[in-house]
Amino acid sequence: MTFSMADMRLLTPHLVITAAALLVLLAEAVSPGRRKGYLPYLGIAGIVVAAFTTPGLFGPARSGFSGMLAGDAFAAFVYFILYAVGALTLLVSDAYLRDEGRDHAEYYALVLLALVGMMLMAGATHLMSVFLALETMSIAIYALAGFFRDERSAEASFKYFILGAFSSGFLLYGIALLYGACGTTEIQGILDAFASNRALAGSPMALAGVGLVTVGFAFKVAAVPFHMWTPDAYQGAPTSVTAFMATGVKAAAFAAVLRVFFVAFQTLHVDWSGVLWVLALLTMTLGNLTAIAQTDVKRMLAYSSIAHAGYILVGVVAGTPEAGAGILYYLLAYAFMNIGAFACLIMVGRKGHENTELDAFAGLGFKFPALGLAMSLFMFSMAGIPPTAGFIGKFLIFKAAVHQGYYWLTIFGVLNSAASVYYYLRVIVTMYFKPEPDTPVVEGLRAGPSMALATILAGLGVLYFGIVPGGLVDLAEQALRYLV
Amino acid sequence: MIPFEYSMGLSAVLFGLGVVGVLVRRNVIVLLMCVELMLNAVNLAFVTVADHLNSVEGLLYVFFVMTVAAAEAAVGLAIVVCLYRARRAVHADEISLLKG
Amino acid sequence: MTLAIFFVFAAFAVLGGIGVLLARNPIHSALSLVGTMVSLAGIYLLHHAEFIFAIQLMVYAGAIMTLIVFVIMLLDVRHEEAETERLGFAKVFGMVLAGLMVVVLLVPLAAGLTGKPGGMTEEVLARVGSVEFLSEKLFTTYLLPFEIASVLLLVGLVGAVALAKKRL
Repeated sequence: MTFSMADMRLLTPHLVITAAALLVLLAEAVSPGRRKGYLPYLGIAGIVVAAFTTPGLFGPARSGFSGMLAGDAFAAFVYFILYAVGALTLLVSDAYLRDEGRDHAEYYALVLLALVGMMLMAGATHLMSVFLALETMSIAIYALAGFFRDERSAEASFKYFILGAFSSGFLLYGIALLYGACGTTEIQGILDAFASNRALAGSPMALAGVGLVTVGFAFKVAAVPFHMWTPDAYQGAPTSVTAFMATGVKAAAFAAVLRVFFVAFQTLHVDWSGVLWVLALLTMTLGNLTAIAQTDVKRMLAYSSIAHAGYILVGVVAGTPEAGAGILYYLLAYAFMNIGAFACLIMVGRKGHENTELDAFAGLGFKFPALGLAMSLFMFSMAGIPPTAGFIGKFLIFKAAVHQGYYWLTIFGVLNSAASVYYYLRVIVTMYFKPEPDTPVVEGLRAGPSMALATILAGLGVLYFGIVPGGLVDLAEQALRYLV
Repeated sequence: MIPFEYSMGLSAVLFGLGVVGVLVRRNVIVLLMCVELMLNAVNLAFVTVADHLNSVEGLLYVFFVMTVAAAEAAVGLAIVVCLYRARRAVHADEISLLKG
Repeated sequence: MTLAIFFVFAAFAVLGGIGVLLARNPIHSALSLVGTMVSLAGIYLLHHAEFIFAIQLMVYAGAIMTLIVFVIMLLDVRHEEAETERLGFAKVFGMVLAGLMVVVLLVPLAAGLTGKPGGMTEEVLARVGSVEFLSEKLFTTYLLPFEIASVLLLVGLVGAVALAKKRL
């Protein structure tokens, strides 16, 4: 029952990134002359090293630490999504934090530690590890959201904190009930308990447990009606943190959802798919309708992220490996387009002024052609217009839903997607067809080499995976083969 | 041995009180305490199940929930201090810069 | 007899919970919460969880509540809240939701426990002792969660410093 070196092999990427976080903290303390511009790159170096230790995990599923951590292709695929999210977030943060005068090692360390939490969520095969990893991630993000320490930032942080802690309570109560019903909270153990005892599927305790776990996760992925915290937290947090929250937290939470619902609650698909059907529909529709009404681009993106969670939920409802692969693809595509869009938002701001009102974008398309091009690309991808990754992602998920006979949900999804084109295109129209006001709001861009690099990488990701998605889709399908 | 239903019932009632508190109260520190109340209710549920199933897992959950509660309290209170400094107020109602 | 003690503790726990909700002064809320936590510690003892009883008193009722009381004092939030007239609607909604919640949690109890029993039986505990049994599991089977908890505490530490330290 003790651990071995084979177990440590599964944990190597997490250990490397934790070490990088500690190194960043130490490096600031011993840097001469408070020079710390290299700190984010130290973090990125850690992520790159971790990425080199990860490919070994692809292949047949293994599990370590007495069934607590998986070393399978599914985890490895999600780790790569998270590496992309982490590295892009650090790149985007660098110039932004320096400009705002908040470039402290704690920020980079917290991003890296949150990343470790996210990775553990994706790899955990026991609800106890899932819970602890989720809290590691969440607590780091509460602190990051409040990192600017001004009114808005602190308020965003507090709202996220209270609702996050509230939802953890529900998740935990659900776990406690499942524990009572199954006698274990190991994911495989829950599956075995449900498979060996038919009556358990009708047991009110088990169902209440599944329900509460669903509520807990619904909060984390910001599904309607558990989304109240999202707009305020996203708008008030530092923009780089918003990008990290919208992409990283979503990827990790959906990875955990896939493991829990596709494996542990596999035999209960009839029970939870109905509930998630309604959640998916509400989430897509409400997210899109409220996004249309927004006049602030940052807040609009917050609501749009709710809508995207809705599309992903459609895939969860379908519940097949095909849908799971679509979700993995979508999470990666979403990471690229969303961080890219938020990078553009950071660039138009200046110290103390975010300039994220839609009107601030008037005329920017011609004034800053590169910014206009990048923003347009990301908006097209979010709207799901080919040849971008956003289109392929939606296509894969909706295809899987149709294969399972969820025609109505797919129709609603496509309609929603069409409606969302309106508010994404509105940004592009404002950039190109509205004249700049006489007193320009945005005089210069807050761009540096790192910001440009992040935007270019995100743009290339959106385009590359949109034009040649084949390899990635194969990899995602392989990841799901070992999961289910 | 205490019947299973009694302890779980108590746990459900305490959890409910915590939920009401989070939804109804406005003072940020009281909100934090209501969350702690919910976590305590969950702990009672874990202890009860562990006792009745002779299983150690529930007790370990309690151990870890306490760890999480401690870390959450530390960060939560730091946020409150931060908020208070930024605005010299601790009433959630006064926090309305961002509209729902 | 055990049952009588249980009911006394349960009554105090619920009263404490109601106190947290109704007290105007945050300090009173905090003290009520301590009451609930101490009562729960007693119930843990009745449930043969000696170790949890001890850490409930030390960590929860002791350390965490001290921290909360300390911050209340630090920020001097002793005043009243003119708050309670939050929108009547939200209040009623909150009550109804929580009521539903409790019902959802109570209904399953009728069916009883269905989980497979574990190995922490009286005989085993008589042989190795409950704390030994717990710690052995903690450092073998449940080693990974234990390690994650260490990262979690680091995050709490760094996060609290990042948010509340005057100058970074």
